[in-house]
Amino acid sequence: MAPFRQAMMQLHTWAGVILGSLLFVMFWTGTLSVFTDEIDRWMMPATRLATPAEVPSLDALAQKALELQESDLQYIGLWMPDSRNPTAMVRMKSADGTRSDRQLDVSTMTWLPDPETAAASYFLYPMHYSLHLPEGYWLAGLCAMAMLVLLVSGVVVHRTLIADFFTFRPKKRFARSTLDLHNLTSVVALPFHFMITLSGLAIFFSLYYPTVQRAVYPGLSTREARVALFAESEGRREREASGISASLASLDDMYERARVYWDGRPLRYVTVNYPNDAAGYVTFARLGGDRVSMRGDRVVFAASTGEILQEPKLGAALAVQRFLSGMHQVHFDHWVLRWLYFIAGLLSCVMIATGYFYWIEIRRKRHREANLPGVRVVEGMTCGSVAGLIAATLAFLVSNRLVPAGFELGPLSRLYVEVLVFYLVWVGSFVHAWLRPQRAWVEQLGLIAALGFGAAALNWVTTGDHLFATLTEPNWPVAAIDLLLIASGFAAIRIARRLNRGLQRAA
Amino acid sequence: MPLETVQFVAVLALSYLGCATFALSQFRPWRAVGLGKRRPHSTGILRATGVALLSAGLAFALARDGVEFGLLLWPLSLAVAAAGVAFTLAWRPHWLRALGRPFAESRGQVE
Repeated sequence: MAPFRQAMMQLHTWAGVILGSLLFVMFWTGTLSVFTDEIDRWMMPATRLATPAEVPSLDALAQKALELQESDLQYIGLWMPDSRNPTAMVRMKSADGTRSDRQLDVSTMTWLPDPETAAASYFLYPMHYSLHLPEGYWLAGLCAMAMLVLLVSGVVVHRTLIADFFTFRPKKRFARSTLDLHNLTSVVALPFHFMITLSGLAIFFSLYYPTVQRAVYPGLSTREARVALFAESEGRREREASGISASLASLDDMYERARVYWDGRPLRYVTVNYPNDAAGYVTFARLGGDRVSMRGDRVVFAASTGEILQEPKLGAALAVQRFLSGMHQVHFDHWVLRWLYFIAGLLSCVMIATGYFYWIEIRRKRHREANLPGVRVVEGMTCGSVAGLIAATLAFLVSNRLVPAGFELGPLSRLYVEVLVFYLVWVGSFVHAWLRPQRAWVEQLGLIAALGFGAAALNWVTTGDHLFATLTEPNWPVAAIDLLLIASGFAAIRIARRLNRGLQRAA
Repeated sequence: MPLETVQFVAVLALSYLGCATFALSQFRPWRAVGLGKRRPHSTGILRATGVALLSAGLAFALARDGVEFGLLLWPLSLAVAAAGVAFTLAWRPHWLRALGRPFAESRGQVE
């Protein structure tokens, strides 16, 4: 093998082995995040409502928020219901720094009960880009850079890329068929892998490349430079409260004037900073379901007078970044693309997992004979980070349906129990994989099947929304999640049976 | 059936057929289909047909969704279609015989 290709092979192998587990976490949670709202509906049964036909009165919504909060409100954010989330989300921050998020049924203008779950919006989705670690987005950025390196080095080392483009030989020995599957899932979805990784990095450009902003705005701190950048390129406004009290002008009137800039397109959110202060300001952003770019076309008003402070504005560089962000986050209203992203995300997960399988299989005999621990360690790590993570995700959903609302055990509410269950199952799967290397895969796949079927059954028992009802009603979000749960159960059984046959033959 | 659904089915079908004809222009997939020897000069015809089918898929994607979404729809459909062709060749290669038969040296003969 040519020295360059040999070097790329080493790079591909070891970058993959070292960071593959984290990459699998990011791609698995990223794939699930395509259906964040749908998972939220499944885990928050009180929000399974019909989508309201009209945008509710913004003044009435703001009044609801102001009535709720006794202390002085510094910030109100009103996220409008849309085709995927039928509730209005009201975000508030009071003068003492207390934050609260509440969901509102806009058809009855009543507050919904606390969902007592982090669900996908606050658990699975943030895990995708922060891994729930302090400053975790740096680790996520490192993984994304490593993914780009893996893609490029993978193309270099794959000598028969064109000749083997459609090659998958499931009946060959395990190492051969896993390498085929690794190559196939890598190559057919290569544009997706590259696009999703690069756009993921572009989303956090202002965090990953702070020196660029400081260079453009010399003399400012990193944060100040970031604020200046967004103010100049996007017209984003930030100003402090004046201390002079003033009442909030009509949000509905402001909205009518903002819509003129959007050709009548609907509202995504409105935020009010310092609603009772003379320096308060109101920001309107439009719903962007009809385009890829994730730009709000923000219109900013003075809160007390309704005067327009900022018309929609977007610099060229930020327009590119907004397009890449939109492409990554699938925020648009396009169900076919949403499912294609989901399938492509699963192909990415298969690519990462089969990369590990191949590494393990070609070293298994040599490591066993030389009594090296490498294969055992990586095999356990792979089982925990692939089967274990999937089982943990399903256990997270099962605990949501098993633990009743209002549950409290010392400091633990249902929200914390769900998260605790997720991590216990996940950590347990690593321990199990290292303790029972022979049976770990089969047993964890069995657990996945049980949890998948169990979650769908528990949804029926606890909410009455069985699959037949959700399909005929139709309640697509809940039906889709139930179908995916059942499909994951069947897939796990099928794979476990094949593995079991393989183990019996090997014995 | 709504026009959008028909157009998407067309994008997916054309992508699948385009990938399948490309696959049949290669040695291993052609052998897997079991149609014996390929006719002389058929490789170029198969590849040209593949390009035409994939281009038609792109045209349907652009017609359905415009440039912005169409350019996302097409490569993603292509990825699913290419994986579908690989799985067909792995588990049900005879499904592609009808597509390859016009390019086989002795028509109707199956290995």
